[in-house]
Amino acid sequence: MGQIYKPGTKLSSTVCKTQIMALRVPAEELDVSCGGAPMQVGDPAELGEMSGDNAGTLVGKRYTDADETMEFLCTRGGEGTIAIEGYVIDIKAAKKLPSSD
Amino acid sequence: MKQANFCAASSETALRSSHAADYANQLLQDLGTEAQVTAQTDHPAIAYRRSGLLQTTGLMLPVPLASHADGALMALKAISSNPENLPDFGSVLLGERARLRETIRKGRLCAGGYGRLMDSADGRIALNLVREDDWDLIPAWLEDYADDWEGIEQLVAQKDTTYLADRAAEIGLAVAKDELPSKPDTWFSMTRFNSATRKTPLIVDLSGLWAGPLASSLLAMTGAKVVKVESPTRPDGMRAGHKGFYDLLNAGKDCVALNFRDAEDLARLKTLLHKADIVIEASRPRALRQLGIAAEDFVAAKAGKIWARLTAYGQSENRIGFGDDIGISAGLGTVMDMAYDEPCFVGDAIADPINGLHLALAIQASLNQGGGVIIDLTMRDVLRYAMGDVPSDMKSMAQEWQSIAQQDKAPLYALRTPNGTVKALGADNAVWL
Repeated sequence: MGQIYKPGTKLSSTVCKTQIMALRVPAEELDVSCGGAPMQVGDPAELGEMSGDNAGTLVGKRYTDADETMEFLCTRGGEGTIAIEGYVIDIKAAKKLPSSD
Repeated sequence: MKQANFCAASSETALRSSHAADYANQLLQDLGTEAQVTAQTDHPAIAYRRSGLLQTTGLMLPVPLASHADGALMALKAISSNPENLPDFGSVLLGERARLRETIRKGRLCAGGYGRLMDSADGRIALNLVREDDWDLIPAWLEDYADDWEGIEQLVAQKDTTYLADRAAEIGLAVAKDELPSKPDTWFSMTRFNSATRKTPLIVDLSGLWAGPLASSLLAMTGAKVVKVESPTRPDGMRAGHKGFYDLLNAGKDCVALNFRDAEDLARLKTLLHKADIVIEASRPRALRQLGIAAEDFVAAKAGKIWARLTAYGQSENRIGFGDDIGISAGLGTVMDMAYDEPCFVGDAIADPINGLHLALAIQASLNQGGGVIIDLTMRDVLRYAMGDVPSDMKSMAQEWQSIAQQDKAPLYALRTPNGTVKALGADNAVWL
C-alpha cells in the first residue's frame, strides 16, 4: 500500500481535518497514516472512524521521525496522530534563529 | 569676496532640510501627543550618505527614509523625560550593522548575504534563506530539486509570483513579492484597555534579532528596566553574530532563560509576563496562542500594561519575514528599479531598525498616556509609511540627490559604542524567577 511521495505533496487524513505537506521524504515507499487510517492526496468526501490512541496534530508544527530522515509540515490541525509505517512521528524543535537577517 | 561668502552660506543652507522634523511632527500627531519639534537637519541625501546607507547600497535612494529615521528618534526624544542618553541620529541606527560587519550589497544579493532578488514568470520576488535548514525546504516550496542559488533561480523563473509567495507562506519561508504598495494611512493599531500611571517601567522583551531588541534598548536608555527572555534551546540567534553589534542592542539588559516547552518554565514565563509593565514580542501570532498566552488576558489583568507586538505582515497572517525581504515587500526594490532600472535591496535588513525606532516611539507615547493598550506594528506597513510619498519622477530625484551626496566630503556619522557587554543566557534567572 506504500507510495513514493514528492516534497511539496499534501496529504489529508481520512478520519479528521489533519492535512500535512511532505517537506523532506526519502525516495522510497511510505505508509502514512493519521488516526489509524491511511492518508491520501486530496480531501476525502467524508470522514471515516478514528482508531487507536490519538493526541492530535497542531497546525504549523513540523513532524519528524526519530532519525529525522523525513519531515512533514502540518498545514491543518486535527484530532488524529500521524504515523509512518506504524510508528508515531513527533513534533520537531523550532528552527534555530539566524545569527543575522 | 562678499559675493563668495554669500554663495557658500546659501549652499550650506540648501543642505539642511525640515524633512526629519516634519516627519517627527506627523508621527507625534498620529500618536495623539501635543509635542512638536522644530529643527533643520541634514538633507535626506546627506543623512543617507553619512549614516552609511549609500556605501552599503551603492546607489542613492530617492525617498527621504534616512531623514525619517532621524525624525522618528527626534519624536521619541521630544516625548521622553530622559532623552539625554538616546543616540544622536536615528539614521545612524539604519547603517550601523553593515558598517560594523563591513558588508555591502552585491548585485541582487543583500548586504547580509542571505537574501536574493529573482525574476519569477510574471514578476520579481525576494527570497531570504537566513536559517540553515531553510535550504531543506526548497524542494517542498518549488516541488522540484535545487542545490544552489542558480538552480533556485531557474525554477523560480518558471513559476508565478502568487504561487511562490503562497507556498512560501504555508511552509514558513521568507519570500516577498517585489511591489510598491500605496502608503498606508496609519503605521500602528492600538486596542485600548484600562490605563494607569507608571514611572520606571519593567519591560519583558521576548523578541530576538534586531527590531524588538532595538526598541527595548532605546527605552532602556530613557530609564526602563529590561528583562530579555530567551529559550535555552533557541536563544537569540544574534548571540552568535557580530558581538559588538549584539552588545549595542542588548548590553545592560537582564537575561532570563526559559524553556517554553517545559510546563514549569511556561508557568514562570506567565508570572513574569504578569509582572511586566511592558511586553515586547515579535513572534508569529500562532506561536504564543499555542502556548496558551493571549495578550488580551494579560493587559486586561493589570491596568496600564502595554503589550507591543511586531509582525512582518500583520496579526491576521502567519507569514514570516526578515528585514531585507520585508524591505522589498514595502517597495524599496521597485523604487530602485524605477530610479535606476536596477532593482536592488536598500541598506541592511532595513525594515528592522526602522521598526525598532517606531516601536520605541509608539510604546513611549502609550506609556505617557497611561498605557493599558495592545500595540500592533506591521513591519511592511511601518517601513512603507516611513518611505513617505514616492516622487513621480524618481530618476531625476535620484540624480539630484546622488549629486548632493557626491559633493559631501564629511566623515560618516560616528558609530555608537556599546554600553558594556551583554550578559550570558539565563544570567539573571535567580533574580526574576
